[in-house]
Amino acid sequence: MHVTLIAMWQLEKDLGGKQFTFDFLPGSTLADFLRKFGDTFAGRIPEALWNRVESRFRGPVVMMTNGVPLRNPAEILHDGQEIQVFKVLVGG
Amino acid sequence: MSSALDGYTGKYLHVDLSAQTGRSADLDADIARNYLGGTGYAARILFDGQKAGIDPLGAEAMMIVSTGPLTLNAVPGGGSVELCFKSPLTGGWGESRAGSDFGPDLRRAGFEHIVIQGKAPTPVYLVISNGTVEIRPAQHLAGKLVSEKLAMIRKELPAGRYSIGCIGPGGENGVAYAAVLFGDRAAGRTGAGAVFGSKNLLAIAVEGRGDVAPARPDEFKKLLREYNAALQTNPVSIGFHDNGTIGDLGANDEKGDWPTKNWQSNSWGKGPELLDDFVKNNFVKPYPCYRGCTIACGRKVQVRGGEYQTPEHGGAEYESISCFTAYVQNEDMDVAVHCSHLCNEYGVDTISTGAAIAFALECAEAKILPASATVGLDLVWGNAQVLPILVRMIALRQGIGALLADGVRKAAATLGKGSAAFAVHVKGLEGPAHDPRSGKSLAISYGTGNRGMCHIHPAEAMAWDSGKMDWGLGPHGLPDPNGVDRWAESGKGAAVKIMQDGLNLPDILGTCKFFMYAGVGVDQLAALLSCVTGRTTSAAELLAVSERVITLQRLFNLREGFTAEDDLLPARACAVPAFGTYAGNADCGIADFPAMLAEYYQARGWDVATGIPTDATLARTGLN
Ligand code: SF4
Repeated sequence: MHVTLIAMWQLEKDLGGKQFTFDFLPGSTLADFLRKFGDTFAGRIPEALWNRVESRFRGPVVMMTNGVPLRNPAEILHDGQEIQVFKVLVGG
Repeated sequence: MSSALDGYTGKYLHVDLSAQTGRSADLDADIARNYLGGTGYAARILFDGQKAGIDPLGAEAMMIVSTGPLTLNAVPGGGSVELCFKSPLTGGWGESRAGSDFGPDLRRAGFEHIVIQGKAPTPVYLVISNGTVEIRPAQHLAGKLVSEKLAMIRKELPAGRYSIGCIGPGGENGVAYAAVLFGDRAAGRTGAGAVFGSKNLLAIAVEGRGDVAPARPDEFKKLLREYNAALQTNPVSIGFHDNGTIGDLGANDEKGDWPTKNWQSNSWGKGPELLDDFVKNNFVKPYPCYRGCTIACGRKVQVRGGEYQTPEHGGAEYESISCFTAYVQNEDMDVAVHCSHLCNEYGVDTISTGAAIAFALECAEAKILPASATVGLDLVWGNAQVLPILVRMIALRQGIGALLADGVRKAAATLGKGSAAFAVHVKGLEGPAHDPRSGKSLAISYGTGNRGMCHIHPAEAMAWDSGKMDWGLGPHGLPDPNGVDRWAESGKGAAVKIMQDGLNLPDILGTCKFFMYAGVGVDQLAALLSCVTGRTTSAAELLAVSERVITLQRLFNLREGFTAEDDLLPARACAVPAFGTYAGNADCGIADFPAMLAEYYQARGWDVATGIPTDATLARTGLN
């Protein structure tokens, strides 16, 4: 199945493009998506935003599908899903 | 029938602590129309009602505890309270906000604001309930920590849902940057706690059961539904909730937006791992600072064991943690969380306290400090153990703490020997944990902020040129940040004016600024205000009020003797970083700050040489 990452705002520059589609086996989870993200982009994304050891975003990066935040690594992905990824600013 | 004060309680409370009296008085409809509320209404009161040159810690000084017409639990960010006063730290305009139910509760009790004057002969606290005020003795609370005072006061209060604002030992001891704590939330900057302490006022408790009804209730409810629904899916709102302000620790380090080692650099390289450490070991859960906040950026945190153990508490904001890590080169997150908690317990501002300690460490390195004041203290960069000791010494004015308790400007003036170079402040307010070298519009905002070197009052300007945020101000003239080079110095003055005018509005209307980041911008605030007052107010009119308020606060400072010189940045905050990611990068220095200021003055209609608002500007803003 296909899942598309959409790089929002500043991440488009960091990742070098707006949309990236990845293949997954049925039943794959958000954790699998994050692993694939790491395999593909670990060299491009600053360490401040990506924890290479644990394959997870670090700091204020928000993932959403249809306006719903994705927080649970065990969440099952579905074919055709689009995941928007935002680097947001939260410093007070 | 509509009235000029629809959407307001129509009253304020005047307390004279010398005479031990409190009375309700009518709100001024003209001031409400021209200044709305919050820091705007308070600016008018302080400008008109308090003479220039008075001692900010004298009995004649005023403390205004203020709310705005949007200070309502139902409004996004409406759980706010603003304290306005002459700052004992800067000698100029002082203001400080806290998120709390205190503001909405004060309005439910029937008052838009409290004007406090005089000095009680012995410690007291105020109990305000449904249109009445009682002045109670508080001798038994003197010297107690904030959590102890809160617990004791709660026991003494009658049944009811009271919100309490309270000072700690720092305020009682006149620390120039003492805070007022509203639960876990501090009105920290510029020394409101010292003004409370100087009046022998240890706390204010408030409860109210009245209702401040909007003039157009149906439309108001509809807007709230719409805005709250949008907030649910707004990525910035979700980002604040999921990460808290501390979530930017790593990203700011990477961007060069993290003052380090008393501003010798703007990056350290340890931000990401410190953030991981915090999330793993100290973070407990998000929490809102008032009932109804849909963002809930607050963090419940804890040091779970060991020497620096703390109870679960609200804290560990980005600024606080930065000042107790990067500023002082401390790599122990438990100590940073502990110090942030200690500051709240002792009632001192985390930013100024951390900055004063960083100043002291650099002075110690340069062998400027008197040996007698530092006996037994190992004042070296990165020594975590000395940090909590110094926090207590500052709050209690012991040893070197007495020197640091007056702020770095005064401490440097006392010490001499070149220490002024280590005192990073504007107008006497110590610099916070954002760096103007990597988002140059912040430099102008730091220089011209009426309360001094502040990142957020009125505007966190680097969020525009470096963070690429526009807060919905594009239609109001703010250029698209995506076309702006964060390193450039020129061409930013006019943009900073627009950002300041826009981002000053939450302080006037009595809301939390973070909601502007999450889509509740000037247009939305104008729509909400129109529903509340029943008087249609456009975004342009709101921006005009904000400009009037900023100009009046500027006049307040000028009257106190400030000049354009006081808008200049410390050399340390302009110098190319001495180490770190941006060391030696000429782009990462500020070459011609006076030219940046001149652009800004021009945009504001202030004399380019003196920074004084011109007659035409005074006429345009209605201040002539
Ligand atoms: S967003 Fe954060 S600071 Fe603002 S009111 Fe909510 S919890 Fe408080």
